[in-house]
Amino acid sequence: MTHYKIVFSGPVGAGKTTAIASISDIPPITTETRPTDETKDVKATTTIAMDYGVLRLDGPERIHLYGTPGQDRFDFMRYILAEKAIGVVLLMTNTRPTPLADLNEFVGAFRAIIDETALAVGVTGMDLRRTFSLDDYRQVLARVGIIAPVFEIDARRRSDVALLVQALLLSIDPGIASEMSPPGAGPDTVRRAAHDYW
Amino acid sequence: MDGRRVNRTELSTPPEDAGTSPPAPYQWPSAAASTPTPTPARGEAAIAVRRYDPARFLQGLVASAWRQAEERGQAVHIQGPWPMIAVYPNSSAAVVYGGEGGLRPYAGIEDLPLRATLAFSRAPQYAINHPDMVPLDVLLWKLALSASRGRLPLDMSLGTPCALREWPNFTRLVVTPGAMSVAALWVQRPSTLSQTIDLLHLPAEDVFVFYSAAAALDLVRPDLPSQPTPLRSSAPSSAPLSPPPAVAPTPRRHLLRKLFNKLRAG
Repeated sequence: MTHYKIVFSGPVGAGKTTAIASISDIPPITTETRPTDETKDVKATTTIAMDYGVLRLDGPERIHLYGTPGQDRFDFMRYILAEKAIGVVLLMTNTRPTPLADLNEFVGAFRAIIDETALAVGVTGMDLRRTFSLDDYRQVLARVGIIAPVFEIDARRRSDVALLVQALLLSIDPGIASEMSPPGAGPDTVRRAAHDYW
Repeated sequence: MDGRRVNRTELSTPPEDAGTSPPAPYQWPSAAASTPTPTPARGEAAIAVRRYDPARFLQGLVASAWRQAEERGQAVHIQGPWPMIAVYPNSSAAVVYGGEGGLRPYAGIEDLPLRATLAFSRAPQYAINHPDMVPLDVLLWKLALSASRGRLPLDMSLGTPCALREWPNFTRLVVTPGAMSVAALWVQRPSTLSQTIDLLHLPAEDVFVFYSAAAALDLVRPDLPSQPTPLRSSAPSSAPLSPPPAVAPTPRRHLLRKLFNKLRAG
């Protein structure tokens, strides 16, 4: 059996555990506990080692989905989990006090693996706090020479998380969707004949 | 949120402060004044190209009103036979009174709005959680898709290299067939429309409709030199320009394709 992995990372409360649960074929395995530090003001439980989910493909392959702990004191886990990953999904949240600094920090932490593979950024909480726009996040990436998909997402919605991961895969190889199936056949497309975009 | 339940009947007319400047008729471009169709690029004859003029659709009207309002630092109310549209450039938002679905019958019709007027407002009333609020990029994207319907804007040549400034926010936009593949390609390297069609094996109309929507949001940079080398390839830059090379597969293409298909299938 062949195993591959995608890493989900980001600060506390960005929705990593929820995002993995949204697309995993199994109920995610989490290592959550009640926080005793400042995290307790943000959420009732927090990941201390990792979250784990899996996508089963046709044939023997499995895609493992790993979520890293958000707290800085567990940052050593990020590097362990990211080793030999297909790509990195960073989840940021507009509800944090300094989300742009968060993004800068996490991009720096994963820069080596991002340069080898690909990056996709999902921003949660934009409906709750509009302080920063997607352009603000894109500019953080541009300052370090990265153009990556940056999408507004609701981590509870499978379609949002699935689109974000699809964009990650296309960033690695834009040709993967060609000759795959008749255009318009997927649920992410509109009906061609009707041109109904509404 | 102002907490007030909105009476949509009341909202069918502009708020009182809408007429800071008197409503002015919008001058629609005539067919004779339209930009001429560009000279066909190499290989264009082999591709069926249907064209349209964005300025002669609701797309062009909203885009023009948006630009004017932005320059004035004001909001603008767009009136015509369709549901009234209020555009708030500073908030990157619009309100389509009665819901954006009300624009559907008008968005794909050329030269429909014979009596369109724009009314600019210095002090727009704007509730951030208005039930009929829609992000401007989402509205303009849909209007462009409906106007294009697989056609190419008049002033765009198949031989002009395209690059994207950034990825569109696909989780909140209508994702047309092949749109994400084209976005990924154009972010990585400039490609002409002809090359894009060949490299990604997409129907021309899928590429054209995506180009139309991305251009409407000013996401396309048409000013870059083309580098038609295979993706992930070590081919020298002096490789011949035509025919365009195939997209060189990454070592994991088979795996990535299966994963993509699974996520796509839901």
